[in-house]
Amino acid sequence: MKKIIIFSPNPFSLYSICVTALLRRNSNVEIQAIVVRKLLNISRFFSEFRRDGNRLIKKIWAKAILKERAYSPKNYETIIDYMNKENISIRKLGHFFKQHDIPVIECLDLNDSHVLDFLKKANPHIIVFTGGGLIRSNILNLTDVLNCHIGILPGYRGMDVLEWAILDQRFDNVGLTVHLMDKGVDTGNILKTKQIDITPYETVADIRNMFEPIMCREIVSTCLEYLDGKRKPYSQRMVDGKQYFKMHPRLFSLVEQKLSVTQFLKKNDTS
Amino acid sequence: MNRLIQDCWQIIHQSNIKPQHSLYLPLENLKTIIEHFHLQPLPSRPMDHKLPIVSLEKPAFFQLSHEKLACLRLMIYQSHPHSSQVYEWAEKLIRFIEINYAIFKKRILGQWKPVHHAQLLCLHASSFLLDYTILNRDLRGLNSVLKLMDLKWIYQKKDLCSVLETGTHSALFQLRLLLVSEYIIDCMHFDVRGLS
Repeated sequence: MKKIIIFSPNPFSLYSICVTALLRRNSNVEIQAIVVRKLLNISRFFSEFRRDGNRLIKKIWAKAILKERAYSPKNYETIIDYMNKENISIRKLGHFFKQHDIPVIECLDLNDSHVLDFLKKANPHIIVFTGGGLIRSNILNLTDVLNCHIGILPGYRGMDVLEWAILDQRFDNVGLTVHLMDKGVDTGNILKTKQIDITPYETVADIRNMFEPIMCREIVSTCLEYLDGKRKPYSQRMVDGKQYFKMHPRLFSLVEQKLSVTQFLKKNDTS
Repeated sequence: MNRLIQDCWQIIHQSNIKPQHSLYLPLENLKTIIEHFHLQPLPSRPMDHKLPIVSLEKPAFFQLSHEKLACLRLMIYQSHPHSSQVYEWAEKLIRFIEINYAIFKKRILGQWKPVHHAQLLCLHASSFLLDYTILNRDLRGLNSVLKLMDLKWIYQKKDLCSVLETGTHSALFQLRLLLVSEYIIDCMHFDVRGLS
């Protein structure tokens, strides 16, 4: 039996819920606990607001207030469609405890001492990271931590790499990478990369929504393959990529323009 | 934005500012950009700058000086063979700005005082990052500079015309940031339009 702990950014993360539900369907997997960051955390709010500005407010509004209503019907599969298809009805991580007896450990920060103490006792085979900020080396040294990065490594490390790859017109570098986390930012050993065609999509928000169910599938399947020894990690070289940071709104508007022009060209080509 | 650029340029021509006689090179190497915006050229002068003798080892934000920045920028303009140092410095500066952005003023004024000295170094560093962006087509440089230009203690967009009338290095560097950042963004707009 392989023991897994899930790290989650907030109690309403549909990505965390979906990954947890899919993993626990495997008979040789035991979800020992879900470690979740509390949403009402003033210091977290201010530090993320300084970094993200108004985008944080929009994110909180969509994820914590609108929840499912943030996903209006689309002509592609959203995470809500995927969860319905997979019969995942849970919408809050706390409900896992009620329905499946999986402990949910709340924390202000994933690196809190009580989280570390719990991990030492639980001794999981792997931690599946579904968001929640930086992880310090005292946790990374305990066990493998698996992450799904929205970008192709080693080329695009860091933040907003989907937008950066579009701005650079490197559509071959748009996709996902499942990798093991280390103390650097997206510098750990790679398990799998997956390119994704984004030409049918007009906005970054659509692409990010479209990515969510794919991320769930990829991180779960790669996790299971890795635990079974069927997938071997390989290292990346720093010189093969760059670290990117939060994109300025003026550059972001250029990304949206590029997407709509690409979409326009594609429509013209097909007609 | 073009209106602001035209107004600022008019002030440069009407005043007695002699921007090219500064060792900080605030309006150096702008020929392409001046042509792009159809601005009246500045009195030309052959580029005869020699690289200042400064050590560029151990790149770090707080090791910056105007001499080092002028040296790095001249290396770009003169296609200097040791321009790997340009990349290393740019990488360090971008990283510092992005990681410390939320507390940038506090972080900078903790090391560099008074404010106008810190502002001038930040403006000069931004000018270097924009030159680096054009050299390496690495838009991370522009991204960091756009963020610095949002900080009113560094860049006074709304008062730029009145700031320019002072003729200080700070004013000229602010004009440079406006010109070069808008030039790069314009080029990207053309690029997008080129797609269609």
